[in-house]
Amino acid sequence: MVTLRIDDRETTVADGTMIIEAARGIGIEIPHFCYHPKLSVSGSCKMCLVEVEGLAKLVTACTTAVSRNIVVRTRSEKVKEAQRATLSMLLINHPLDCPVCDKGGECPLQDYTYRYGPGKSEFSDEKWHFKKPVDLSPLIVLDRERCILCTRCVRFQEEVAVHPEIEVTERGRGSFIEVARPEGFTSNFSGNTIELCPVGALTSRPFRFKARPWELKRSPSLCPHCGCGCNIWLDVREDKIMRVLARENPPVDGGWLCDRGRFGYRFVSHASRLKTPLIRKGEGFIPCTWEEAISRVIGGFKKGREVYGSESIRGLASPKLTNEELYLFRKFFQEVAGTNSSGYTLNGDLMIESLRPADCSGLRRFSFQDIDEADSIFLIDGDPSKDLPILDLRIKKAVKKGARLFIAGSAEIELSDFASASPIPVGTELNSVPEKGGKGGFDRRFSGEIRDSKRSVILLGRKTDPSEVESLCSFLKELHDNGGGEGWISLGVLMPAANTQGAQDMLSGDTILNSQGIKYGVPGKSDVPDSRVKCLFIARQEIPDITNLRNHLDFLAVYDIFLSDTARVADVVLPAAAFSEIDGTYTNSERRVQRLFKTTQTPGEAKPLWEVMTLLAKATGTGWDFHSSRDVMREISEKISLYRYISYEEIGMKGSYADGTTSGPRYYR
Amino acid sequence: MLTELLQALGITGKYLFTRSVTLRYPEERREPYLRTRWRHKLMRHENGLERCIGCSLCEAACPARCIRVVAEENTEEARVSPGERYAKEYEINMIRCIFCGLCQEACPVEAIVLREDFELADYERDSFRFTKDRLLEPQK
Ligand code: SF4
Ligand code: SF4
Ligand code: SF4
Ligand code: SF4
Ligand code: FES
Repeated sequence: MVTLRIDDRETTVADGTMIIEAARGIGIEIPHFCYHPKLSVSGSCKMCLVEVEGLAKLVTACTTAVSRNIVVRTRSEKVKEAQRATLSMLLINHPLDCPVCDKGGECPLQDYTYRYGPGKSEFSDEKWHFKKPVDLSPLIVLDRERCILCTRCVRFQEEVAVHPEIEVTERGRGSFIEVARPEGFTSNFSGNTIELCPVGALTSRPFRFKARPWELKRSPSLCPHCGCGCNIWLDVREDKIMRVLARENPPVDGGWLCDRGRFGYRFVSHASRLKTPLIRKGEGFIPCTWEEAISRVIGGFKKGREVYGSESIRGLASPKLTNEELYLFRKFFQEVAGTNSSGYTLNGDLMIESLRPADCSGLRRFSFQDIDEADSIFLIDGDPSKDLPILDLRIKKAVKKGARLFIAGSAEIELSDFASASPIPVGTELNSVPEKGGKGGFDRRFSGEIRDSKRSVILLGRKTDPSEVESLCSFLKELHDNGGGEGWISLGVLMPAANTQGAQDMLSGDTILNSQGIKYGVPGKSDVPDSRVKCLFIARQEIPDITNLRNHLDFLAVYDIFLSDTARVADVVLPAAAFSEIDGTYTNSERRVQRLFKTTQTPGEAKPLWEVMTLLAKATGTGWDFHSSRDVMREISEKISLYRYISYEEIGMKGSYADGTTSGPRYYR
Repeated sequence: MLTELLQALGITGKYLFTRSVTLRYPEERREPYLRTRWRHKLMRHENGLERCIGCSLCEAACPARCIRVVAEENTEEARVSPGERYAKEYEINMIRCIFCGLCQEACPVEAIVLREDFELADYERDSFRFTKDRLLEPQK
């Protein structure tokens, strides 16, 4: 530890801390452009100059480590003069077109120029001009005139995304940012460079000129596009989502977003959103009221039950729905429709069910942070870059720190470039020597690598063959029990959709309320329709071969946000609420329960599913006492033991694991 | 008392024969002051392009929050204003406006100006919503 003085205040920090960080720790702002806490040090912009007593020259606070008893001045006359000079330099060729710049209003260069600089450009000759804007990709626009060459964007792509697609070309004042690869700027994480850029050089194409920062209302939310559950800000103008920004929650997203999450918001305000319930009339639909639609659905169910019995009624819900919606969905089918068979299709549902807690008790339950500490990571039949993109960054970071990555599966994936030589080459059949009664062959071949590790993370992807999971679990348990202490092996499933884990928990995963998890398909083959099913309620799910399924059905109701192909063949279509229009919770892939907040209005008369289910129950004469999703969560925490510690108050802004803890190891029991 | 009465009548009499300051509006009108601040106009450049660049700075400056700007990007084929950006929608809610002129002061390109047109009374609330087509200077 080192004690030093900054602006007459004493602070004690760890050895090797940079002055800029020590100052930040006690709330002293040192202006900076190229420094970023999550990127390597560059020291190129010279904005962070400070005076250290005893040194003749000013030093850059981002590259100078603290030392014992130094006295740092951040606001002395000498420093002020230097800051002014630096800004004046940066403004020589800067266009200062703030009024038309999308960064204007939230731009560090603008702010610093007012606070520390000349307030205007002191360069009186003609500035350099370039063609602008230049599209670096369909999502990102570059304005060369505004770039101050801090290289944050380049460093991000190089160090964090590990996908160096942009670079600084040329030298000196002629240098500029350019796409370095012929295939273009294709990185999955390119959008982060927009947020990193301290000026308006890199801006978002979809957000271009859509709003000024002061016109936006910022609300917390969650990304609805995968099982990571990255935390986001929704910037809304006139009830329309204008952009999505990262809302840092380090254990989940590390403060980054993938491009799917950052740019996948425009569907919410799409003109073709369903706005009223529709009922079939001949080949087409006519709009109707909710009362009519509800009584149609109930009528359909009643008829089905009379003719075929209650087993013919099924519900099918998507893992895009919130816990509250899914809970009432199941409750309705179980308690009201009496079918005991609400089902769900989930990509990868089979393997989750096969991962019975008993098979792997003692193993650590995977949480994202386990990757940071792992020295070996095994990806089995999964592709995080596609399914859970943010984990891709975490895995690359671990590999850079020295962890070994082993990939097994049928095809090469994006992360293959980072993998160590695997004992099971990609493309070889897994479990090629299955021994009856478990302990499949493929598992054994990994044992050397797992045993060599102090911390091992095993991740099963959506393509894992469920029949292999049991043998894998017992094998891992055996390895685990023979060494290393509790939890040195962490086992997880890469759950692709935003609430796959929640759907699992709400629909079948609990010990108290086990609904036997009957799916709409024949057991074991979820894509083959069960011929007993005659009345189906599908909530926000697209069925690939819907015409085939429809031919078996007497009655089909579909709840969705668009008139999908599935909805097109329904008898009744109910308009759904999207993720930004509901209060609720999602449970991410590591079983962290996080909050969604109602931010925008539902279009027309669209309703969240929990409300629809309450209406349906009411129409059958069952009075449910749910007036908000909070009421539903209260019941969930009473009825589902896994969620007994969960309440909206407890979850807060950062979420909480279902068992009530927010960090630390968790184990399978 | 009588003298006071006569005094007052004297004043009345005096004004009876001086020039009247009252104008018989609307038949009679006075030339407005050069810098009078009434209904806004959105100006054009000499070459006919709109001055407004859709920057929303007027909207930010307006203390009555009565301006609404929605910007869009210019293309070479359909150029509305010089530069990259123009106002696709521009609206002023004239009922709320207090004619303070701060919008005019904030505008970096002298696009929005307050001018002499003060006859704004109307019967419909909706007609006080001055959209871009009503505010924009006609093409010369
Ligand atoms: S584009 Fe932005 S982030 Fe990249 S070097 Fe230029 S100023 Fe820095
Ligand atoms: S990783 Fe998943 S949750 Fe995170 S931003 Fe991307 S799609 Fe959204
Ligand atoms: S004159 Fe004042 S109140 Fe009226 S629009 Fe301009 S800034 Fe707003
Ligand atoms: S009128 Fe002026 S201040 Fe208002 S948006 Fe147009 S250019 Fe900007
Ligand atoms: S922030 Fe220190 S040199 Fe750029």
